[in-house]
Amino acid sequence: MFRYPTKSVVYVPLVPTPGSSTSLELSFAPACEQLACIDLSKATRLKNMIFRCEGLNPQWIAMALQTITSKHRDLQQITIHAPYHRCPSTPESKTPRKAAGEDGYRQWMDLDSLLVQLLESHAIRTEVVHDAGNGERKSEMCECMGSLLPKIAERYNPTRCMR
Amino acid sequence: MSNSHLPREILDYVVDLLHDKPDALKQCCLASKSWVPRTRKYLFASITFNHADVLEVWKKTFPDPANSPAYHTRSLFVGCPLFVTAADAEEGGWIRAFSRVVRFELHTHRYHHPEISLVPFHNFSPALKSLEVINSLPRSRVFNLVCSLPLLENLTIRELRIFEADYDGIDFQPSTPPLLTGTFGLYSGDGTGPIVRRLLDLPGGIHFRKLALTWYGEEDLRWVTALVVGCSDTLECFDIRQNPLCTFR
Repeated sequence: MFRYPTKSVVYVPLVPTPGSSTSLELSFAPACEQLACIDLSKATRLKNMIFRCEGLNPQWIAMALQTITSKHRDLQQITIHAPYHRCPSTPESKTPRKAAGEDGYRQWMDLDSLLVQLLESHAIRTEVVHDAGNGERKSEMCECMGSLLPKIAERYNPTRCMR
Repeated sequence: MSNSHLPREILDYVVDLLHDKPDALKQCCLASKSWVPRTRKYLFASITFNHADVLEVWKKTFPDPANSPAYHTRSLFVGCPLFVTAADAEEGGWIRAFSRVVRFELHTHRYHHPEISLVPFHNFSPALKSLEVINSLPRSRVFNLVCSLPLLENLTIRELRIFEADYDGIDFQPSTPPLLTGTFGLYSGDGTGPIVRRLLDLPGGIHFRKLALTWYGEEDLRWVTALVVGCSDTLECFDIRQNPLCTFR
């Protein structure tokens, strides 16, 4: 029989596969035990995960991704939809770091590190998707996401436009 | 136009090629009576009853439900359920003429009336595989409808606001529980908990391969996890959207 959720959520740490880098000590990890988070640890048949972020605080995504374990052998792709309306429209007006705030920016850095770790431990693809079209906003969005997910942008260049 | 020299298969093939050209199909109907049955398969494949006026026109055009082209309908949209259920009561099982519908979309919010009964829709099409509801009624009515559809694979529930009590005291007991093996979509401004709880209580359990969810607050995240656990043996695709108004810090 199914058990309904209670306030406490079991935290399952990422288990690296042999040969992969060791687990990162992410700044939000201790908080995951207290905060609600999406626990995907039981869904080991997952192939695709799509996270549609509408704010500049992606902690909930990182917390969910942290519950991915080495048992998720079928995992193929993680897609992050960029918060189009929250990204600053011009670099001069506000940098993504300023727009996200210090806490938000740190959360993006944590997510960036976690994604890299997942890509190294699982043979998966990562996509960062925005809907900025092909005009000027496209390069702004790519730049914005590049500064919020720098390691992913540098190593995998995954950004694409959804249109 | 005479078509006596052409075999039936050739005529059917010509009509089949025009399946996505409704104007051409209508011209085919005018060309020869013998072309009508095949064109109906495509002309009436998708039917929308979004206003009472449209419903009245249908009833006048096809007064006998048993001989109406409803038999060809595979996708049905009902945006005025109050009038449709009234027609069903008047004509004794009018809805059941749509017995081959595979995809059904039901909106209860536009002509909201608390007395709308969904019982006439119970298993109206034994072939039904996809149900999408924009709901403003007590959720028990929606879930009774879900329970009545044994081949249901895909379910989407959108709620803007529930006007009535969540439960109206009636529980439909299905002889065969719904399959629920496809996609589950949920968009509820009232929180995901009440719907997820009902879903997890369904006889036969849930076996969705894809979840497409929107979350608003921290409590929703716990229910999302409950849903993931509920179909963890089958879940392949997890698609989650943070509502812009969400309360997560």
